[in-house]
Amino acid sequence: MNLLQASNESLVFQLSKSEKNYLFGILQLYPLISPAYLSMSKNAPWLDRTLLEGLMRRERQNNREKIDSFLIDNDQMEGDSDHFQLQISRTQADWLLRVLNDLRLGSWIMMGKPFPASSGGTEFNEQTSSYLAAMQICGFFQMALLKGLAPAL
Amino acid sequence: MVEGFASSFEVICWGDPINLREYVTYALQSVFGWPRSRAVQHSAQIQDQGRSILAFCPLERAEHYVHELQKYGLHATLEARV
Repeated sequence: MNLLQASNESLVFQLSKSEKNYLFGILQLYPLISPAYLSMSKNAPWLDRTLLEGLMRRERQNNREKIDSFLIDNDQMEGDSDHFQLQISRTQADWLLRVLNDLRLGSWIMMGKPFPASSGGTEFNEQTSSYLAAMQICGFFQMALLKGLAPAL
Repeated sequence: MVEGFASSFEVICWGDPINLREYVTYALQSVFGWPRSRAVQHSAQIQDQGRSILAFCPLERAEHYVHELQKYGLHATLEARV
């Protein structure tokens, strides 16, 4: 996935057919993280965490709906049989980046939170290997998006 | 972003081995509007020291920042200053 063009409003990327398939396939996994995963505080247990959980639940529902729209909106992904161009606004790129990070984080959690993230202490089987692959795939697309969103990288 | 000595909550971002440093830098810039140099400094601290205090502020604002950071998948919490 290569950045072709970046303006103040939008970004254009070129993807191969396999990259497009990986991107669309990985988005189908969303969400992997429970809304209750993150805590609000470590030393203030009196804080109401139901508010945060509710916000995160709504956030994930909205993201799932946006993913479904993204996957069927062919106008954003034009091309021939081998290469595709993805044209998205900066707002959409920021959203896609966050979704991919959520999937990367969720894959790590599903692997049992190994340290280091890529291997330490994880028993490799069919399931953990697929989550490891998902982590790497998300990281690949995240770095491409960051090149467009944060050009100083 | 120190908002005065009366501020009673710290917004803390905790390190993990999964979030890419470049991503953390971008997220901090997006949430706080910081220049890249400041965001880089904090993301390095998060990765190297396991945590970084990002803001001192009143509860409502701290909750807002924590929620925004968690929308980026960062492990952020607010802690009462003792």
